[in-house]
Amino acid sequence: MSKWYFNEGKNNDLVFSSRIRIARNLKGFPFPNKMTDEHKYSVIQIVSDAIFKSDLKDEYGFIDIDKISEIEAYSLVERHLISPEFASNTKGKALILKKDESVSIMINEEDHLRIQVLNSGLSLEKAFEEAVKVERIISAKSEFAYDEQLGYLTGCPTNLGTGLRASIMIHLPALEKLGVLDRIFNNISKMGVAIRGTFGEGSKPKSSMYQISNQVTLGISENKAIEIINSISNQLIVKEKEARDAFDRFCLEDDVFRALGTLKFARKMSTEEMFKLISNIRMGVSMGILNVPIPVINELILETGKAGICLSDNEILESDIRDNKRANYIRDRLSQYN
Amino acid sequence: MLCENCKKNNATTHIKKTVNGVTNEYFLCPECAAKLGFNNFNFFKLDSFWNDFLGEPEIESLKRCETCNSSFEDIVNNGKMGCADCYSTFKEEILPTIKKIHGKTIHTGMTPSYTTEHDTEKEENNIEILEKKLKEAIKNEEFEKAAEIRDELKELRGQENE
Ligand SMILES: [Zn+2]
Ligand SMILES: [Zn+2]
Repeated sequence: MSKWYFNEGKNNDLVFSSRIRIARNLKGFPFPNKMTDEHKYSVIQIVSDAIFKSDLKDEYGFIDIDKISEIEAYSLVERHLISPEFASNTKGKALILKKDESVSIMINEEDHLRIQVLNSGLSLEKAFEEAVKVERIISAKSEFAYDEQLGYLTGCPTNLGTGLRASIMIHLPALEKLGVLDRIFNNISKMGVAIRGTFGEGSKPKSSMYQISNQVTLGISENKAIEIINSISNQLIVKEKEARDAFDRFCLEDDVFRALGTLKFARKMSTEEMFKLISNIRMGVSMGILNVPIPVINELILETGKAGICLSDNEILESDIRDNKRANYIRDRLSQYN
Repeated sequence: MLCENCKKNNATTHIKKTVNGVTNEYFLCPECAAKLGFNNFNFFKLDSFWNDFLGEPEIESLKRCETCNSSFEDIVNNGKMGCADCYSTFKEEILPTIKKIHGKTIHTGMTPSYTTEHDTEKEENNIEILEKKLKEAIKNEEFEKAAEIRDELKELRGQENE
């Protein structure tokens, strides 16, 4: 089964992914920070039974996160399927993963359940629908902790109510280059929305990729939260396109082809350099300068992280060796594109 | 134990304050603790909600969650609620923080009885949901809750007229 990022999605040249995450806790068990090991295994059992005795059973797999290697666990983090905390302390935890990796169910993270759906492009509604489908299958087997006034009860009060986090990852290189992102982010953060850089370190990531998500989960319906993120995304898409037109096309083309040249011929490639060059490639594709399929670009940044590139050896490799393997992988995937 | 201040309500908060080596202890009810400024309601800040434990005075809650045995201090120190029942046990303590985080205190999203059949596009908006909850709260004589819902309704209607 090919992975989720090979699917087409609206505006997937600019919007890398749409993600929905729903937090839920089973009634009758304390939250994970107060659970005994016995509690944890009971919850894992209940949730697995719900999924693997349902119609979903053939599409999903069970991963005993405590039994896989550190490299495998961190490669799941790099593919945005589990949180770093989940990978660093794996005891009493489990992961149920859809085979195309579009749905991941983290069991016993900060909450008993974190149901996450990842789709390509701008498609939060579809992702939400799928998350609810999974949620309802589990709730049919086991009641969730719910309060008339406060909604779904969560380990941290920041997730109370809907337990919903709707987010998109959007590529904004031209707005970043124009130096207007701070002002834009300042304005949209007033709408109860959080923004942070992703793929790469720091507030100005080399990838020029930003994650935008709702902060408020209580007193706002799921649809409304999604609507806000959608409307911000659409505005950002328009502004980013305008910004791209403001630059000299000849100079942008030069940037794009230099990036392609380096990626196609380099023998050593760090993740940070890759994020920067891939950012140029993505913009080039989006502007019709290049003809590399977006899923191939997505594959490169998701599958060749520090852990991902070590997967085939299943051992921690020196950084020089990693950078060489990454360069080879990229060269191979891009060889047919000009 | 009765509150040392009002001598009417049950004391739920134990406050220890040391000034110049002299330690004074107080046992207060939540209202009096709040009135006298000993409320530990500001623990959750938007950035690092939990790190902001007011160093002094030492406040020790006498109340513990019957299900998971957490005290409010445990919750603040862990950065997390111990179990679902902590929310009802520590409702008064936590509600101001919830209001601070979300700006609201009433859930208006999906409910356990929601089914995918009647689709997410319920024609009901937040105002209608809140009006229903208000009626229910009044019917059940939960007047405090009703007042909260009324405040949120007022706020929502204000936004709509903007
Ligand atoms: Zn009192
Ligand atoms: Zn509790």
